Amino acid sequence: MNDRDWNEVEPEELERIAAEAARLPRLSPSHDLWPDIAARLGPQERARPIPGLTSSHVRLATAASLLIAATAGITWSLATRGDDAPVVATSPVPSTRANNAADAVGLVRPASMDATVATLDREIAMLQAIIDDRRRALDPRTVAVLEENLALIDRAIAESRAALAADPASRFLATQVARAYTSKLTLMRDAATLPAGT
Amino acid sequence: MTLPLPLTPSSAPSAPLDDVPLAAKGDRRAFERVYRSHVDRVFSVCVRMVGDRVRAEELTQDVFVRCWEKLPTFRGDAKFSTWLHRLAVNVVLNERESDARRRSRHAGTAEDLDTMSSEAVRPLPVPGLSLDLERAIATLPAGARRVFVLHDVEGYTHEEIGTMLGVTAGGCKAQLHRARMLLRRVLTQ
Repeated sequence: MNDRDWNEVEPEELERIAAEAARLPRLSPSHDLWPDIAARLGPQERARPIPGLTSSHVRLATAASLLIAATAGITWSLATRGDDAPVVATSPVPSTRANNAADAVGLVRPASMDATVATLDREIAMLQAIIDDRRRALDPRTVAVLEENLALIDRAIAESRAALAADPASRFLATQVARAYTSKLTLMRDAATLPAGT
Repeated sequence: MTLPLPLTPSSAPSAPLDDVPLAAKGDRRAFERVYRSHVDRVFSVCVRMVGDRVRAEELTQDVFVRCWEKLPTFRGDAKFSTWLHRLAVNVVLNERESDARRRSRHAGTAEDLDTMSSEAVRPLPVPGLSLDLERAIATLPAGARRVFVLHDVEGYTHEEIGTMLGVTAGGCKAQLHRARMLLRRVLTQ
């Protein structure tokens, strides 16, 4: 831009540009971003320190923490057939920046689907026992939301597994199953450590 | 740079007011409603600030994932829409810093800091298309585009923008004037 440009412009012209900019309409993405966002939702940050914990709460929280620690390193797997090497997820904690399922579950080496599901089911059962034990300590509305979300995730797991059964070579479907399980475990871990009255 | 194509204005209904606290407690259905109510506004600021639809869609996802993570810390001191909008701007600006670090590492060059040099306006992405303000904004250098979008489109003050970008309010004003001048030039070509 040269000096002539700068000097010849009327201030009103620039104000018109500014006024038009303020009236620009909102824009929409080219597609629905929600499915990808939903797949990436993990634990939420805690709002505040936990007040008034009783010893039983501490024990439960400790048990939940130990369970998380004990299972964090569990290798769980999703086997696929076909040309791709079957895959194993080493961590059930999703990456917040993961752009694909492989990133989200940490794909490595193969194992059997049955063994994977058995491992996951054991972990879920342990978490469920803790949640059941804490049910009365939680706000009934929280319990209702929790159960509704778990039901949604269970449906997603069932649908993903059914799709995978129909197309066992699909790497995409295998990772969808892994993601659904990851969501469930994350939600259950959060629920297991919720402060009383929440 | 891809064009931020003008699309339909948002017609999504507002989410019920209690969706935000529900989402803050972990209700994913409520959070989906929050997303649907606010996605166009978030996407709009992202796409206008980065000038790239694909990257803006990725950043919009990042914004809502970050929103989900941070939602329990939202105290309601400001309107939720204001809080979310500021979060979106921060995500875009952090992306800019990450991108600058990446470029610095790999190419040994600093990000376009948009000093008041006589840098030429970039070629139009799609020659022959009639220009409108939306397309003209996308042709601005990155720094000028961010200041113009934050001030003239989104309504932040120079002081607020200066704080966000780490520059003085005076520098922000100069950058804004430059952006408007460049836009005028493109729009009158």
